[in-house]
Order: sequence, then structure tokens, then C-alpha cells
Amino acid sequence: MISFNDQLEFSSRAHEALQRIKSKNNEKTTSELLHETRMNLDYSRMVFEEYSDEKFSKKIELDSNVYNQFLKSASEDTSQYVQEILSSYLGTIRAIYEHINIEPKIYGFVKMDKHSSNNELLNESRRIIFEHLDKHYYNLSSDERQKKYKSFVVGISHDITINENIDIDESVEHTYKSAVITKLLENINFPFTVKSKIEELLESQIYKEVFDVDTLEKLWEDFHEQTFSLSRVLSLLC
Amino acid sequence: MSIQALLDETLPKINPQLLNSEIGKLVQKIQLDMISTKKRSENYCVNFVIPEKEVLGLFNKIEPGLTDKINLAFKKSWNIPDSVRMMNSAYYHILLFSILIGISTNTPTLSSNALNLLNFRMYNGRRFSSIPYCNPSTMQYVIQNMLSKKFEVTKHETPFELITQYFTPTILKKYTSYLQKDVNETKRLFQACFNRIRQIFRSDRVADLNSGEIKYRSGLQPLYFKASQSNLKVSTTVSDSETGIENSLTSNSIEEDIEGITNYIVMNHQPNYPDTLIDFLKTQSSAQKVAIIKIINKLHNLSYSDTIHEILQFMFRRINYSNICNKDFMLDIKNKIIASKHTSDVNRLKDLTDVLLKDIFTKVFNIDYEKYSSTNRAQLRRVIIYCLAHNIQKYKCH
Repeated sequence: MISFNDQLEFSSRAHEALQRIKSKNNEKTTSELLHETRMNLDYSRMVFEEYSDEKFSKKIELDSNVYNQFLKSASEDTSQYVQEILSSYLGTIRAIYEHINIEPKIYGFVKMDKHSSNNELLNESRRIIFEHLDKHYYNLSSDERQKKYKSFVVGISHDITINENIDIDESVEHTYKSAVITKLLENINFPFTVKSKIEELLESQIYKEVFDVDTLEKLWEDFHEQTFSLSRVLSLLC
Repeated sequence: MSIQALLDETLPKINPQLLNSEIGKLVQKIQLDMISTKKRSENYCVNFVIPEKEVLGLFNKIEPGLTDKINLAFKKSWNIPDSVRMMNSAYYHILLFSILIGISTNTPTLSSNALNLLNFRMYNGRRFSSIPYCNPSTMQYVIQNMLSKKFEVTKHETPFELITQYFTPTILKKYTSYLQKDVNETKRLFQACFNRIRQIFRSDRVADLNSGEIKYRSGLQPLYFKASQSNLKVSTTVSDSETGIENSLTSNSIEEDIEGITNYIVMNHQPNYPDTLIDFLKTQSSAQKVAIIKIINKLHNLSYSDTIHEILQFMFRRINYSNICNKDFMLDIKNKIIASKHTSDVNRLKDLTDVLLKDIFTKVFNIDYEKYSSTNRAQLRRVIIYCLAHNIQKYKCH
């Protein structure tokens, strides 16, 4: 028979358990904490140089070496098509840098410029591509690849299969390649520090108070859409 | 009661010729005093003997208590805090009211005499605050040997002549039409007199933002102190080559424009900026239109007078003066000011604009401006600089 003391012990244990559950529910997730930190950041501590057309042109000159690696075996028509996409794509990238007024950052190509030897530029662009492929695809186990790309690949390849009427396996393989190249294009155009800065600005309360965040959001969305479209074309060339 | 209502009520009771004669006598008395050898030798160190009691009694003779009524009407219309003694002084209000009577009754000498009396007192105040212990020999040396010949001071032997022959006629010429349209423009006239007289002694203000110390680089004061430190007096003979400290930073006409533009901005409490300008500022700054409008409207504040004046001085040093009314003036601003980096002038301009924005952000958005990144602050500075450029164009070209 359960005594009064036993009942009291059970109820106090149940109360403790409830308290633990309650406190766990109140704990902030990592993303919530990150969001909160970003909201309260003091941006004055971040040092970036201001946007300049010269620096953007330099970036484009060097980045074009990477694009040319993909295009080296492409037909004239395909090259022409990619150049057209690139023209609008680079316009969006430029608008983002101008909007946030940050000096365009160059991914790789350390201490190089358009006057560097062709060989140097060629080797560096190959290094950028191969290092990226190794790091984000070949060096990953199949579990890691699945973890990294599965949700993206499943959603997109399903749509591609239906909309473009192609085989599902072919679609999955194509989406995998596109996802990896998307990541490469994102890194090239907005290296980590700049990408973080943009994401912070998009969430910052004091930035929203004065600056035109709607336009920045739109440009950022356009950039991601255009990146994926371009990476789909580039993935067919490798 | 408003100034206009009081003027309408008082005009029928006034004989402008009689008032003119009384004020004219006060000016003549000062002129006679200036003719004396002693006063003349004091040149720009002189202190005018101000007929305060006589001026304050002018309107009470017409109607007891009218002086107080005039004083109250100006205080109310100008809306100046009681702590600002100078702008609340009945002496100035009586004279400004006399100027209005002169304009309304087409008695220009009345306006001119009244403005002379107003400027004499302002001269005393500016002279004393700039050079409290003024040595006429040192001052004479400064005027003869150190001051640029472009300055009006060198063309007039005494401040009496400078005021009566140059300041009063030019100020009246410029502001009479404004006063005819709106009697509240007396505030702008008053501010213009203050700025012009102050300019004799000090202009081209530079504030050390770290120490807070304020210095002036143009006008009699900095040269006087320089001469005083070197014990240079009119009897001292030093060759021109050793003392060629010409005050060549700004010519008088540019200084006058800067003063005029500053007043044009800070006195205009209801600015109306065209949509094309707002769109342009949005493109240049990536700021929201609503925020831009709030920022540029807040610029029109008397308390920003000194900072705006100094920013304009920096801008005028870099821009092509003859290009102001051209279509590509904003491009000139972009190339010579916005895109220019790391020169001492531009850094100083940034500091000054930041001071202005910091205050505006606290008051308008309740945000600490310094929390914005340096690149975002650069975008916000563009709003101020281009807006000032727009006002320069409006003042000079429309």
C-alpha cells in the first residue's frame, strides 16, 4: 500500500521532472542565440573598406579565370549563353556590394592581378575549383554527402524530374553537381566574411531602421536564384 | 500679438519722418564721437557709445508700454528661448521694428539709420568677445601689414565707415524684399548682421573634436593674436617678406556665400525637397526614403549653424566655384568630396558630418549613430553632403 510519504515523494519527483521539461523548453536554440547576438551587434567594430568600381573590376577580371575553366571545352553557343547569364549575374553581385558599400572581396588569387602570367592565373583557378570539389564532395563520405545535400537535392531533383521530364537518377546526379557548384559560386562571389556581413545586415534592427533592407533582400534572393541557374549550366560542362 | 499685427496697429500712430530724425540724431552723435582724435586712433579697437536708453524710449513716447509690446511680439514670433539674451534684447527689436516702419512707409533712411545703430552694438559685442583687450597699435599693424587687401576692413578707416558705407547698405539691399513679403524675416536679417559683423573678427572656424578647443583661421582675431605674440605694432618696422601672413584662405565673396547658404538652410524650417533629389539620395546611400527625408529635414535647425557653416567651408575649398550652377555639379561633389579619401580636409569633413549625424540620429531615431559600421556611416554622410550641395545650388542658381 502506498503511504502518504510515498505519495509526497512521487509528487515532488513529478514536479522536478516537470520543471526540467519546462526549463528545457525555455532554453534558446543555437540559431535563436545567434539571431539574438546578430540583432544586438555593434557594427562599428567591423572594419571593411568602402565599395569601389576599380576593386569590383579587378574582382571580375580574376574571377573570370574560374568561369573560363568551366567554359574551356564548351561550344561557342554554350559560351555565348553562359556569357549572357553571367552579365546579368555580375550586375546583381555588383548591386549587392554597392548597396552594402563594402569593397568587393576576391576569393583566392592572393597577390595576383590581370598582369600576372596566364600560367599563374590558370593554376590558381584550377586550385580553387579542385580544392572546392575535394572539400565539398570527393573527400566526404556518402553519409556526409547525404547529410550536406540530401534535403536540397531531393526537393530540387523531384521538381526537375517533373518539370523537365528527365530520368530521376539523372536528375539527382545533376542536382548534386549543381549544389556543389552553387556553393563554389557563392564562395567566389561573397567570401565568408562578406556573406556573414550581409546576413547580419538583413537581421539587424538598427540597419532596418534607416537602410533599405527590402531591396537588399530582393537582391540577395535574386543572387541565389541566378547562382543556381548558372551552376546548372556549368554542371553540364564538367 | 504678432509683429505684423503690431506693425499694422502702430503705423497710423507714427510719423516716420519724426522717427527718422530721432534715430538719425543718434547715429550722428556716434559719428561726431568717432571724429574725435582719440576715438579715431582706436580704429578697429573702438567701442561705440550705444544710445540704449534713447532707443528704448523711442516708442514709449508714442504710446506708453509700446516698447514692451514690440519686445514681446518679437520674442513670440522668433520663438527663441529666454536664455538667448542677445536675440531677446528689446534694443534690437526696437531697431528692427523701426526698419520695418521705414520699409512700410518708404523711408529708406529710417531703415538705414536703424540698421546702423543695430550693427554698432553688434560690433561692440563681437569685438569684445573676440579681442577683449585690444591694442590699437597692434590692430593698426594687423590691418596695414597682415590682412589681405581683399577684406573690406582694409578699405575703410574706421568701423563706423565700414558699417555705414558697406555693411548696412548691402544688407538692406539684400533683405528689404524679404522683409516686404514677411516681417518674420527680421530674424534672418538679424542673423545675417550677426554673421557679417562676426566675420570681421573671426571666420573659418575649426574645432578640435578631441579637445573641444575652437579656433578661427580667418578674420582679425587670429592675426591680431599672432601679431600680439610677436609684439608687432604699427611703430615696429619689419619687412613685408617676414610678415607676409596673408589671410588668403577665403575671399570675402565666398565667405559671404557660405554665411548666406548657412542662414538659408538653418532658417528654413519647412524645407521642401523635390522627389528627384530624394530618389538621388536613395540611390547614393541605400537608405530608405522616409529616413532620408527625416534626416535632411532635421538639418534645418539653428543649432547646427556652426557645423553646417564649417562643412560648407570645406566643401567650397574643394569644389569648382564656377561649376555650381552646372548640371554636373553633383558629379563634381562625388569626385572631389565623396570619392576623395584620407586627406586631412576630407577626414575633417567626415568628422564634422559625423557630429551632425550623431545628433540627428539621437534626436530622430533614438539610435546611437556610432553603432553603424564605417561603411554604412559613409553612406549616410553622402545624404548630408549631397543635400548641402543641393542647397548651395538652390541658393546660388535659383
